[in-house]
Amino acid sequence: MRGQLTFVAVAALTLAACGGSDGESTDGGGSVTVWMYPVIPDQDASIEFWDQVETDFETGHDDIDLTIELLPWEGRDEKIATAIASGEGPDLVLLTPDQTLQYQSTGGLKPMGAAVEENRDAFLPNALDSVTFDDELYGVPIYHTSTTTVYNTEVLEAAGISEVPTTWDDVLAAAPKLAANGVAAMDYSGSPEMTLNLSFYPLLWQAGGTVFTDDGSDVAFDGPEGHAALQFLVDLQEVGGLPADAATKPNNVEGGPLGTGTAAMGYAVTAPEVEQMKAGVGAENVVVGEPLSGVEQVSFGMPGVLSLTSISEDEQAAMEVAAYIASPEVATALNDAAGTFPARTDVEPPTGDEMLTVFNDALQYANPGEVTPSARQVMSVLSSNIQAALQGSKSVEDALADAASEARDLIARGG
Amino acid sequence: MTVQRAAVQRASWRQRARDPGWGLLFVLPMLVLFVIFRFVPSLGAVGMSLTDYRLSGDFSFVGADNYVRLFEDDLFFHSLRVTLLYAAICVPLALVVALGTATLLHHVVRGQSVFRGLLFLPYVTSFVMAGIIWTWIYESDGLINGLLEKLGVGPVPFLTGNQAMVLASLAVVSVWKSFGYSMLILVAGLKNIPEDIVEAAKLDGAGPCSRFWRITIPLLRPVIFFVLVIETIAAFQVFDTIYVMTGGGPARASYGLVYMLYDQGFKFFDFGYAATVGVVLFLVVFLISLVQRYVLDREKT
Repeated sequence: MRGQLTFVAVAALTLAACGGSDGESTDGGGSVTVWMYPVIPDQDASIEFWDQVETDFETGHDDIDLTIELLPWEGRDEKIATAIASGEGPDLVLLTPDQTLQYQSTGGLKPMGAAVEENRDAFLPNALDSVTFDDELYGVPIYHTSTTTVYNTEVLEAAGISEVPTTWDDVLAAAPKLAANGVAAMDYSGSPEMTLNLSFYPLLWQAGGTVFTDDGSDVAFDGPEGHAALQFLVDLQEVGGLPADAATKPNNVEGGPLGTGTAAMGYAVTAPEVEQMKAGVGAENVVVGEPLSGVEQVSFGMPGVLSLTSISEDEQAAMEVAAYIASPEVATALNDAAGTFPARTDVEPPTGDEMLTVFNDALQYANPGEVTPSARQVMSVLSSNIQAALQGSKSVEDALADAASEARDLIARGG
Repeated sequence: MTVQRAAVQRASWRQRARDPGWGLLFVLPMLVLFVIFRFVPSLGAVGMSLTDYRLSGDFSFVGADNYVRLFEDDLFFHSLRVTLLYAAICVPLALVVALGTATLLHHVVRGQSVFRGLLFLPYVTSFVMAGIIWTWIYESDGLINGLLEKLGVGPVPFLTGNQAMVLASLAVVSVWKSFGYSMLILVAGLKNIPEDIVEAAKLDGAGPCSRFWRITIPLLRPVIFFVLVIETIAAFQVFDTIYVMTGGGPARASYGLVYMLYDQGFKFFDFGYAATVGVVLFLVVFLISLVQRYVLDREKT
């Protein structure tokens, strides 16, 4: 296979050398730029991996010049938005489902169903659904994330708790014992920069609630489930069960409560974060478990998708690149390097590690987030009201009622 | 003969230099940059505020819709209040610190340039780095609270407490970062005060305090006015400190106008609405500058 590819490449190069490079792009050739992010947290590994992808792809498609640019997570939306608005930017960009809808509804993306035409069935149906709007596909899933609970057994045992808390009631019962040792039962990050998908929403879903109604025409977080979820946090805070700065702290494991042993558990933690926690408090003290249960057992996990920007001039070539990066070979290698999980059924999940098996099992409880055109504005509104409730400047009822009324105004205006 | 010709040539040069066309030529490079990077975008923003401009570049003209929406938006009035409160804390603080350090510098006899350099140093540091480090300093287990704990005082919620506390903490960082510039302007102003007036006041028996209030401050008024205006504009435009240190929180306590503009434009991609916030911000700052000018000028006459 490899030899064959090389042969084709050499032959094509020879042809190109003889005939010049003009007019060779008729069969989808051209140049494609991809904006990739540190899905592989280790920088050196990330550079090496994507360089390899670039080289491998170009070996098989000598008529397409692929450039994979590695960008930081910080300032991601500003950069993508200004790039698309100015017409100078990537053909393909890595997005989350809610971002995909946001860019789609503001005219920043083109449909790309053709990229998965031949093997649509190979992808997880939920992953495709989460980026399908108006019956058109706006992203090709290349991996899936998974989150679950993580525990610091050392601090739990020090407080005389031998069984790890798996339900809200367990957490509430454990909190005072842990607080006596100066340890928060559960980590929570209320910073306005923090996505609620990894903080409040999992609790809301565990309470049996949703952020939006089924058709997305109204918010639903102000129902009894939302009250229960926010009340759970407030109750927990009252008995010292949350970090002191829970209302405002950013989501850092390294140097944060989980990484320094001042929080006993996290409930929406990713695999790379577990590694950071192990480095902080010692691998022998860290165990992962099933997703936390309230009324229901739910975690958060979503696909990462490559989307086609509206400024892409080489659609055909870009879709070939997307299909290649989503292919089983690249997906397997990416999951191995990044600790992510397959977004397609014909790729085996990473094996050989007990922790990764737990994460992979957690996928069956994973909610990919609620994607509506106003999801991000609503998140921002709700986030500041949750801060107010955790700071005690608003009651649970007022915080949710205020957030809901502001969110309804937003939805009425069309996002 | 030769001498005469040279004199004639020099005169013609002088004449030509006085010609307004030549002056324009000299400022042309700056003017071009100014037009391209200031005027055009500003007018573009005014135009954009009348549209529903979206990411793809498609837009339709919506007239004053964005302005109507803005004046019905509680969030706008909230962020306007936050910005005014912040400016009310920040501007006097900046002026006092800049005037204090400028006066000290003016009276330092030896090593003036060293002290000036040291005091100016924060101005040339990166705002983001300064913001991150100040966040650590303010944290509940940070430098200040660590010292307070040794004195037996509980942790002060600098960036997580009530609105006045958060805005004051942010203002301290902004002032620390930017007072150097105002200080230099004031030092220049102090140097321009004629020594003989001060001398005369001394002979008349005026002490340092009354010299400061009756000679220095009145003569410094035009410079103070300028400093007040630039500090006010800077306070209204505050963004980087908020972005780095609080993200507009907690519970929107530091959600200022520029932060709202940023949210609308770069988080929600509603560029038309963001431009509207920008235009209104410009008008507010413009009005306040006019009022300041009126008040300070009236006192002078």
